[in-house]
Amino acid sequence: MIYRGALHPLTLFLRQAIDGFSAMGFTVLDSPEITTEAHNFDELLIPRNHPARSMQDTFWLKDGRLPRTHTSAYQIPAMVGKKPPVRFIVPGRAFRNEATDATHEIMFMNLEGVAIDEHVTLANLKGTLLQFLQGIYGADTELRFVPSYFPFVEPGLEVYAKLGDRWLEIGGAGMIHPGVLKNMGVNPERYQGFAFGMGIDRLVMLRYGIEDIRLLYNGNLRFLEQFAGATSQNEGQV
Amino acid sequence: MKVLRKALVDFEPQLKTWSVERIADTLTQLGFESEVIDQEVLECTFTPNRGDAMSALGLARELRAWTYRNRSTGGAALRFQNTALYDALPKAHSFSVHVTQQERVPTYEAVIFEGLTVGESPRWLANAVTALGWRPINAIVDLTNYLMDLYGQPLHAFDFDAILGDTMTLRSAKANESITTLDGVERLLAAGVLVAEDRESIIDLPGVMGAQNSEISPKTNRILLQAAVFDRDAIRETTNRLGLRTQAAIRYERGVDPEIARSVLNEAIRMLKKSEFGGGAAISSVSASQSLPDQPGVKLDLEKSNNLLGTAVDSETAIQSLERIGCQVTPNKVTLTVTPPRWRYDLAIWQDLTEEIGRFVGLNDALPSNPLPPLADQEQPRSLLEWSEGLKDRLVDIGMIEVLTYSFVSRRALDAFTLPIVGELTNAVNPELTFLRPSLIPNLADIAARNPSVDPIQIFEIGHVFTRTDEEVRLGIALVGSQNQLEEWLVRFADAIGLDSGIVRAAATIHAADQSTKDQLKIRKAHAAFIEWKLSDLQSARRIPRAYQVPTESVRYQSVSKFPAVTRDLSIILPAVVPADEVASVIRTATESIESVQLFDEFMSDKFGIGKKSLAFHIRYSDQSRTLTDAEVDTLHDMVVTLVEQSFQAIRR
Repeated sequence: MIYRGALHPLTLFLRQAIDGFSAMGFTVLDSPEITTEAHNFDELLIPRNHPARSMQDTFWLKDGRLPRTHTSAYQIPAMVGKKPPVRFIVPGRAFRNEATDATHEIMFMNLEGVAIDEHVTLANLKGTLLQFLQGIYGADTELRFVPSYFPFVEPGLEVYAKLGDRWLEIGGAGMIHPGVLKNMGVNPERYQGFAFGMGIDRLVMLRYGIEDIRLLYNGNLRFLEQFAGATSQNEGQV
Repeated sequence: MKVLRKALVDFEPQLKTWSVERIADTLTQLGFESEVIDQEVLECTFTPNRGDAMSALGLARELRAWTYRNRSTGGAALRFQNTALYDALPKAHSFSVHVTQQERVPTYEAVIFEGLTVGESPRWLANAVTALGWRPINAIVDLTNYLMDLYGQPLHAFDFDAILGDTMTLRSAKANESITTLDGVERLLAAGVLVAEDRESIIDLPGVMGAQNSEISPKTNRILLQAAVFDRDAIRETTNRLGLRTQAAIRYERGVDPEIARSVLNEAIRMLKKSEFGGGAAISSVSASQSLPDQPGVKLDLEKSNNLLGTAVDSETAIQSLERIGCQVTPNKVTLTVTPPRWRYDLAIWQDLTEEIGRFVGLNDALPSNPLPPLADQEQPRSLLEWSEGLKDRLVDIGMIEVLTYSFVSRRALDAFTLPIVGELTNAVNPELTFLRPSLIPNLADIAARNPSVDPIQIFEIGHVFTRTDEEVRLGIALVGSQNQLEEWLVRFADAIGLDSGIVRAAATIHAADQSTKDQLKIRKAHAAFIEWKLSDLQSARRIPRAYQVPTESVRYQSVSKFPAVTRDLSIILPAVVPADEVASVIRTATESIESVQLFDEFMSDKFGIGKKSLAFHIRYSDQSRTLTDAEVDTLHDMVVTLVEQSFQAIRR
């Protein structure tokens, strides 16, 4: 080969993330970017007028559907035809109607994860996320849970990771609310599980020292071509 | 919301020795992200389920429970109850409040004051409300804001003499009614919104904002001070319909303690008596609603809670945690019956209570970190998404750069490629991003136009495109530059993914842009071709292995100059043993103005001499602060040539 191209930095990062979760038994699911109000909100216990809705600035389509505000919108469709035990991750885009600047975009990369079984616990969530983070950032990476609120999990929390010497919020997580399990067609008396949703963009920016989130989606080739150096040939697999 | 350190200490004296930073850290740890504004003021944020905490009282209650978390005794939940002055007042007999739907107004209490002189607040109060982020208005309004931030009970003061007639009625608005609110805005009300009216007109949007016609003024002598609780859904309806979200409304939406109204009015009576407030006297009380629903107990099985958390919390610790946040706990044979306090609207199921136990035993120190047990080995079908990762690597092998673009496009972009409208945003922020993309090509063409100094442009995107009802994953390619790359590229691509080039071509949609299309797209290069496939059409049975992995060492990218770049080519003949990478590295060291070095040709031939080869590079020059002139680039390029010739015994071709 004469000249090698470059993978997008989000691909580079997601690849490593997906490998980490695959090793823990999670399947990767592709999912639609356009969803319904029911999947994005109501079935996740966020009814119209709920204050949690105003936390998310939503785009709406003329036909009443919407670009999902979070990959959690796929939690319930993903369970169609499935029975516990399940473990899956859903990488994909999500959208927020926000003014854009160096740290805000209308589109961002989410990584959703779900595990359901009879004895999947909050401690398992902690163990899973810690193992994932340590796989990417090294064995001394620390993790912190802070109580928070998302109507579709209970308990609900925010996950912080210590990367270098600063704590960074990497996403929301918790134990799937029994009402959501019911909406999945799963018996909440017998099964329980965790769910998490991580924003990938900020982690990618931090990893590569990218100071403006808009560089990820504006197709500046003088920026993107630099990631030719970020891949290394994996001889073993070719 | 801001909170004063002193107010927290007044409620919980143990905090006296705490630094303001420690208070902020502890609140953050408890789920109320807090920031230190200065040594006396904190800024706290609240999740929408915790209306109960939106006051100094609520936060002090949390902090107090936390300070007792490792102690075996003490730490009864903080409660505020003192109604002596209120209880001593006679009931108003010539004025009443009528609530038509009690369930929308579970609590309604008020006190009538007379003989007030409405002036500026005493200095301490003006300072306090300013520190809390309010603009001081007058002593009465300032006091209501101060007490709300202190106790979480919104108060509203009416000019009592501006209320016409002897009854105020709280009812649902009819169609086409309107109100001019305190901020001077006339608002048309949706039918069903909760309003308060006197004999003549609407005088309040209860729980959201008062009306101008009953506002406190310097002439006010008598006031009706209202402490009510409105149903959360009723207030959410009003705020969403009107797009008006005041501090009072935010609290009502999230839930206000329905049992604190009389105590807060009691505090107002006590304070307004003082001469610094003009010495107004409370003369009577009005009580229009006290209809608290039954508070059902929640059954909690601690074994289930421990199984949800993955902990081994003993029953004494669990009971104490719950009691210290105000729950009543009655042990049964196996389970506990837990009655949450009225102020906690968020505790309805045993999982909610489990979260509270977790919060107070600590989600960090006390919660173990247990990886999931291995799953029984099951062969998972590989998704298209995983398959496409190998495809991306083959594209990188043949020189392609991956881009990710928005899922939306502009009307202009649709028209340029005669694409249909398949979906349109009702509330787009940017006219360029209004329509769902029915194809990847418009955004790839846009990138080609916006990268004039890159030649050749060879980019791809794998992403979702939309129809009116569905979406699918596609691969899009753009080949733009001074040379026509299309035919050669198709062959190379088919070869790279191991498919017959006829099949690859047959499945493709190819646009070779003519001059007028290029003009329309603002692409100023000789050739522009765009190719698109439905990804599943390319998916052969065999797996494409991934070739690239992320190196463990971190790569830092260089910020890209905002100024245009200039590309010059360099062809040299040099000893064949010198690796091309080494030459590229040396070129990069020549000057800081080199943005990129790309090898585009390498071959050996005896015509260069025995053991010699030819290398050719694109070298791109730019400057961080200005546009380089041609003459400057010539000088830089000459420098590079000299350096390469000297370093590798190379000869320029």
